[in-house]
Amino acid sequence: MARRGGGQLLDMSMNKTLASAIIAVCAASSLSCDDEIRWDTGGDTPVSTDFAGMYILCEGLYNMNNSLLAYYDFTSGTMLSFQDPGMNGADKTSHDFFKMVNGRRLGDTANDLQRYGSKLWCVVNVSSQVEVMDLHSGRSLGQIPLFGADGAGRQPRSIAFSGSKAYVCNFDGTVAMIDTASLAVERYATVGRNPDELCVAAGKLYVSNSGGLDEANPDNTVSVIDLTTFTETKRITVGYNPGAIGADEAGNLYVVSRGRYDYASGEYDCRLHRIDTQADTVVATMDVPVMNFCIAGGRAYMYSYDSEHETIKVMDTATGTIINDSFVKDGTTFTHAYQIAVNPYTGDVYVADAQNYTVNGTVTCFGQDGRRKFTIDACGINPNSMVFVGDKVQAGDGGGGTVPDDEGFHIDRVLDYTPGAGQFVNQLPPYTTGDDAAAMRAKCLDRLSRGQLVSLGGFGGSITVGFDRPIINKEGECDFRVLGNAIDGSAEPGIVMVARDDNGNGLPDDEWYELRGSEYDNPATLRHYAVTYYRPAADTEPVRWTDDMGGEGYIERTIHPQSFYPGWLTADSYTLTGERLPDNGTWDAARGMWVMAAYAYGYADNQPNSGEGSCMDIDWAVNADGEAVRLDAVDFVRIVTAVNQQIPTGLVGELSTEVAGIVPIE
Amino acid sequence: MNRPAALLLASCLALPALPSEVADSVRTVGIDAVTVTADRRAKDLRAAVPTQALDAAEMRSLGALQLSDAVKMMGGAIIKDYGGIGGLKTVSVRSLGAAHTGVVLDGVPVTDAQTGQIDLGRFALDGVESITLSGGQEDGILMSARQYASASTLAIKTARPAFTGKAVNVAASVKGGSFGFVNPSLRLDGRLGERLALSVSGDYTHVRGDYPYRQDNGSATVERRRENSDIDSWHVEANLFGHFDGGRELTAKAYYYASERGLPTNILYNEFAGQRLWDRNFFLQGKYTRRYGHRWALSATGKWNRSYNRYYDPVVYNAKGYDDERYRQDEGYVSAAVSYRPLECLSLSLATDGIVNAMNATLHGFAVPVRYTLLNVLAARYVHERLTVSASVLSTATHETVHRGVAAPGRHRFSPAVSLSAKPFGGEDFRIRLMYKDVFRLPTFNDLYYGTVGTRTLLPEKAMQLDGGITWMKQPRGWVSRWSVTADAFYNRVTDKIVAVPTKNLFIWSMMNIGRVDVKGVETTAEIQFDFPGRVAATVSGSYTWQRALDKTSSDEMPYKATFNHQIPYTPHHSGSVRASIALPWLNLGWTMVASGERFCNQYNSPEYRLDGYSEHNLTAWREFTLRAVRMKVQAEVLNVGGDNYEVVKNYPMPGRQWRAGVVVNY
Repeated sequence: MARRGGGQLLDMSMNKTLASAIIAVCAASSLSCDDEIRWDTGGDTPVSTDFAGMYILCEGLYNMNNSLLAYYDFTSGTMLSFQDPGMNGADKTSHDFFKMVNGRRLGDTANDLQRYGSKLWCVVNVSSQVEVMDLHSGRSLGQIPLFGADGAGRQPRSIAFSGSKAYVCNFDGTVAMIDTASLAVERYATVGRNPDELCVAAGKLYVSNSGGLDEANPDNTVSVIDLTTFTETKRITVGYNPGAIGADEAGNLYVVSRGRYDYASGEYDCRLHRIDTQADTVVATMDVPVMNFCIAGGRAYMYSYDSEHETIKVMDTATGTIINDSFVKDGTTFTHAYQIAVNPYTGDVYVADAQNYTVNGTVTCFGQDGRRKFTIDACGINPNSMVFVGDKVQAGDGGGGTVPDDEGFHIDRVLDYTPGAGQFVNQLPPYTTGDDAAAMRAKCLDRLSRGQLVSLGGFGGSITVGFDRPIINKEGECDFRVLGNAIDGSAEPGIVMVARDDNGNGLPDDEWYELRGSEYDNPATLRHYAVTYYRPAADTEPVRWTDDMGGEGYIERTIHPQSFYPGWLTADSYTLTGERLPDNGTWDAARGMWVMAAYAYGYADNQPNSGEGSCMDIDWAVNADGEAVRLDAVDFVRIVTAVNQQIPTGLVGELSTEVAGIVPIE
Repeated sequence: MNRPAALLLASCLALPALPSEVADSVRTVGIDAVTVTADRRAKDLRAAVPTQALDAAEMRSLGALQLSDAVKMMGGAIIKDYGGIGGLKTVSVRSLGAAHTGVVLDGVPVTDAQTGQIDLGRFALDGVESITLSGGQEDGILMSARQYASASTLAIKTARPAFTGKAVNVAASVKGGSFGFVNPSLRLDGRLGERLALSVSGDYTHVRGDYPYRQDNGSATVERRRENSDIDSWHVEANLFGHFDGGRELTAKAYYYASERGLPTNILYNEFAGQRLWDRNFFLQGKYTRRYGHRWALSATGKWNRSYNRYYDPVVYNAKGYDDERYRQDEGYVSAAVSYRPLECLSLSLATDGIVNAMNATLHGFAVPVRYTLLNVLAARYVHERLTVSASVLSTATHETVHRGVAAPGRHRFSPAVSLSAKPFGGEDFRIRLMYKDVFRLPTFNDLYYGTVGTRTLLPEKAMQLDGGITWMKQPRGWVSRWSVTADAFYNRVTDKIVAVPTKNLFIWSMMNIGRVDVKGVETTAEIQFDFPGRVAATVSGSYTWQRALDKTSSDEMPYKATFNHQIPYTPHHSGSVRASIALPWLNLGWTMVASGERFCNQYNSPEYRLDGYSEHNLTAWREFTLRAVRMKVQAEVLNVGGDNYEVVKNYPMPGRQWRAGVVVNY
């Protein structure tokens, strides 16, 4: 191409000009010494030996599907986290404990979290689901959809419990009654508009009808529901837009009415009403600016807004008098207090702060002296519930308490507890220094009698229990259930053995019979198999094992911080023998997860508690030679972990049978 | 007179008149599309404010259906897209926010005083001659004052009819595609005597929109369909074009748009979606211009606009059991502008606009506001072959009344703007451009009066823009017929940004002027055109934008988890687009790609709020041919070839791979 020389020269100078212009442009725009982000750290790292941990429910933001359940482990001083492959970017650290355990998210706008017995109940408003979890593992036991006939979500808001029922109030003006064992919605009762909260007092259910969706015309009533008939018997008129409601153990009931919002002042006109639960009438209305409160130990801890900042007041619930006008003594302030809770194990007062409602909130703990102990990041947006878990029997915990699944029959003795090594060993039940085998058996009995899980650890780990009466063998029918925490795809089978007290000495020293499960004749089942576990050099190391077939391996570390080797055993190694079933955990490439398939029948912690798969028939009993034996009744049951498999993802760990109880089938 | 000023004047007296003011009203049929495109690009490059445009041929090669499809190809423009044809689409230019982008349809702004932003999904591209996105005003100096009032302007220009020896043109088209997409349209052009032409057009769009997508949820990931995502829309308009002796020109438009759509949801474990939205919009607008010699020109514009929305939610647990809210807006608008050219190279103009906006809604206790706005602008422009300088100052004054409660106070503000384009090297089409512009947006009616949220005392939200850049174009002879590049660095600052701030209750937010955003960025575009032997031509162009749009809101507002210095939500650091088209003698092929880097869906940039980057590729093929006197075009498109349901907005997945095909008949 012909060119004039001048053009060439010009082009060169142009190129330089262009280059320097671009450089100048880039340099000018990237000069940024003041653009660094100051990241807030997660706050303090408190530890405690008084209790085990705290769940924090963060509701997230509407339509963002980002409700999150975090778990702060007070034994290790950490918020549990995991690497979530579903996250974008290089840093996949997630504090979504629910997803960590269950592999999926809670849903959209979770409003309430409560514990009841050994279960944890979470009310997810926009997803219109109630999620029921095992309190100690967080594992989902079921999801209860709450939808109307038109297919629209009922928008559940809050939950309360009484006896074997859970009650959930829904924004569509209903209360659902749910059986705590079957998780089935049994009935709905109709209440007022947009019920916000509910509580049980004096054998009745009280529901605050906010009518909050009619800004111009809110509701102003509290519905009273008779729990025997589950029908509304009365509506008590209180102030407009009632919300928080709660009662102490003596049945003193308080409800907040928020009044109408004053746009000019930006204030609510809150009142606190006291209701007499005998007459079901308002007996006092206090002009106290309370937004929300929690009641513990005869005290109501109430937070309010005044024009400048939130304050916490303490009221004696018996007398209705404010005994502390400003609970916080050290000048700690909140941006937007969102929930208040009292730790039943320590009496400390926890305040969740939603900050500006769009970034992660915080939880601050105060001693009873009103001085701040620590603040932790809630790891989610809008923290609205805190639930505490610990190893102490709770006293005065209105939401908890014991829930006997069967009035009469119960396990009354734990005769032996020798777990294999495992991630829940020393935790379910918790071992504390100095505990011996007897102390651990007592802890097992305490847990089993409250329907809580006991972990048997890896292969060969076992528990042997006795009952207040024999389990009768009913001809041709299943006779008892072994309760565990198996769900579909998460079976950790254990062999069930039974014995009679033939010699009448009350000890399980008679002949043991195995219940012949579906894999008894599986050629891959090893009839006699022995595993030896070795004490690790340090608590934080995995536990080595060897078997009698030349195999060896490790019970690998997971998120659990404690030693996986039974703390009360004095020997540096121990050997467990038994029958080994084929490995049931397989990698499901399609779903991208490990699936622990259940066997057909006859094993503990193998199929869900509610179905036939947890039922055992004493007629299945065989002796050591494999011959069927006819037993009229059994006095002892032993459950033994029957698989030896380590799942190579951090959460599942070794397969270990868990037992939560044994109940006869009527 | 000081020496530089004297030089300036002397130089401009010596120069011949430049054709910059010549109206683009006379068009002949059969102009080579490439030539038009080339002229357009050359014009964009001369502009002192960054300007990007696409003409009808280019839009065709994009396979663009809606205005938003074309705008997302432009540098610096970030489209917020809720997915599907019915999903809301707004554009934020250089991170200033959607409310700072003005949409101008045939010289008259399209506005929405309620929300301050326009859904770009509503404008179909049939019959559109060009769209232009610019940081300012480049249609000459004779403009209404309102066109100076937006930080950036998206101008849509309707094609003028052209007649080749017959009095009537007919254009009919029908398109169809995935997820129940049907889109017929019809346009009739008629010549009314020597001076007038009338064009009447209408189109209808229906989409079922129930595209499948994957709802990611770890082990509970499910394949879902986007339910309640359908839209039906109708659009008819009539345009009158008059061109009279004595430099008189008249255009008038009557426009009607109506739509009904579902609002889809994407909630875990809850598939119910029943909300519906109806939109109706009618306006009449007219513009008259007259030139007196080549020194004076006059223009007058008038518009009356009514828009109506209805929002219906079938399941709300209030006393009624549902929500059914209606919103109505009226706007009356008049503008007069005069320009005077005392010297060949210097133009001055003065424009005055008066606007009345009124809104009513069925909301409980709604204020029923009426806003009166008076805009005056004084502008000057110096045009020399090697230097163009524009300066303007806009005065805005408002007054508001309400039927209920307290009205927002009136506001008055001056908005200056200066821009310059210099061509330092005589023979080379290399230009340096600089721009300063300080405008603001008024709080919308929603900001001021919406229920519990609105705050009457809001100040206007200010947007200051600085831009410096270069443009360079060459037209070598050979296969490469032309190439051009632009590179701009910009600094924008939004102050008194109107943000929703929670009060004492999560459910009650209020609007406050606390936000501040600093935006630094670089925007580059490049285009290269090839003319190969054998009637084969190709164009490749691309844009790339890097921007750091940092939240500089005082951390006093948020002591914990301060978002100070975090990138504002939905703003990628890197974004860009590429389009390529090749014209073969018997077929045209086009490929486009839009790409975005990672973004955050929360103002706090922690990992859990990170949204992945994405890229979307579209392929188009079309052929034009003549059958007797009928010109026909057959077109097929594959959209989002990769099929990924990426999210532009969190929880609003985009449709995967789709196809569309259509035929256009011109007589």
